[in-house]
Amino acid sequence: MNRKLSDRLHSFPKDYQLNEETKILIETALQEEINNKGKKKKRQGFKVFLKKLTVPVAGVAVLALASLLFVATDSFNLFHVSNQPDDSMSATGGQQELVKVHEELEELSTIWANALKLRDGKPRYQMLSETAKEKFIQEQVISSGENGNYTIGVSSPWVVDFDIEVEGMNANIIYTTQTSEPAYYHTKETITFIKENDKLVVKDFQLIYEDRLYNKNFKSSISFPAFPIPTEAERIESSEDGQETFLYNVLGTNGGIQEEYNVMIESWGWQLKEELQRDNYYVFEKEGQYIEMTIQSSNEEDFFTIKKYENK
Amino acid sequence: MDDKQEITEWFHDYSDDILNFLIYYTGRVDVEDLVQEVYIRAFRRIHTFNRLSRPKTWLFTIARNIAIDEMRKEKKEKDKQQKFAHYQVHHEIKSPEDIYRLTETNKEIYQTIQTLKQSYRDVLILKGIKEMSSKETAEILNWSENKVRVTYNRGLKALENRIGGLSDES
Repeated sequence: MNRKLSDRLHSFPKDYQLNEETKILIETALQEEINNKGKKKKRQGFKVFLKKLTVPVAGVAVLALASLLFVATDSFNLFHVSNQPDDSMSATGGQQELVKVHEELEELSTIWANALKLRDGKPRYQMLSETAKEKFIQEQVISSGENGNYTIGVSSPWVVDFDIEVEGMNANIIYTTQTSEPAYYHTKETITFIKENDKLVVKDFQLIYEDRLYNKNFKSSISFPAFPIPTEAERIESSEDGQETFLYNVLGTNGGIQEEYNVMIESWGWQLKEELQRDNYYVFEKEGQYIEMTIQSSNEEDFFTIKKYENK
Repeated sequence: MDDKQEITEWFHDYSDDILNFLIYYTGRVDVEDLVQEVYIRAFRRIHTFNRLSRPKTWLFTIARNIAIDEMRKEKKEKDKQQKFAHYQVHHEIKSPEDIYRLTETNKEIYQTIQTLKQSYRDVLILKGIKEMSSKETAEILNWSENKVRVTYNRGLKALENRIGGLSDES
């Protein structure tokens, strides 16, 4: 009977279609969303950049005058783009220049990041300051010997993507790397620019962290950024003390937390306090911080809550 | 292929599939706005899409979440409106049964599915009506394939009990 009923369900019609007019309307809405996202991203990037430079820009006028009497600094040179000090005080001229610099920094950072993707250090070398060139050569010798031939990076994990955020004269780059397993990792690098001989160059480059296990199925909790949450989990409630409730079934087939989620929690540095666990209640600890997780599952709805664990 | 091209391609490939799913799942015919919401939400979250899974099942997961949200909202709205029911002018609204021209037996089956608990409705619509494989259904519901198979069989059983067997009508 089940088979017959199942076949009957399969035979239900499902050929209803969106009419052309509706399709066009949805596509237009989607296109608007795409355009808005692009604009928003650019605006946000520039907003952060301006914010970082609010004090330097305000100080430019003073510095410009002072520079006539004292030795100019590298960072001053960047803003002192014209021979006329008054130009740097003009709002429009100043903003236009900032936009130009911001765009140039984004462009240079992209070349920098792409060089790692291609494992070709030549473009990087060309944009380094004199002192940074020495650092680059030293690193080449350490990683590849005297005849490094500008090869950078490693064969695995390899760079599959990168995100760049320019903040003031710094660019933060997060590389997504992959191994053949496949497993994904994040590596963060910060590069600092200065203006040397009227040209933007990389003054320094620092590795912030390397090869952190990464999985697109997880994101940071808002209240506890160091704690992972499944990306698809919908946050339905939050309170001032940081408690967050998510609509999502985190239970795995064995009744405990899903294996993938468990691995991710552990790889983010959290350890299960086994002595405190009971049924669907878990406590995790990381560097003295405690978080408790309560899982509720019923036929109608599955959700879980995380909050700061208070030693009761 | 960049995000924009990808989402546009997915729209062409799966929008009708998602439309049919949403109609059966919500029991409403006017779900075009929900289809739009699925794609806008998908585009906003495209960076979270795991390239190892299939776009179709990912879109269905989003569609199901949106449908559940919508049904919750609708329920609240209905409860509110019931208080003022005598002021309302009732319009005849088309149902999935009308647009698909379901036979009497299929109408009964579909209406009965709508009365079952959510987990049964999920699998009967996805695996049954939408003919998704157990693997696809498992991906959408974030269950194991085994749970899908077991719940599907239980759902069929529950459905059979409620309707009391199939007539010979084809």
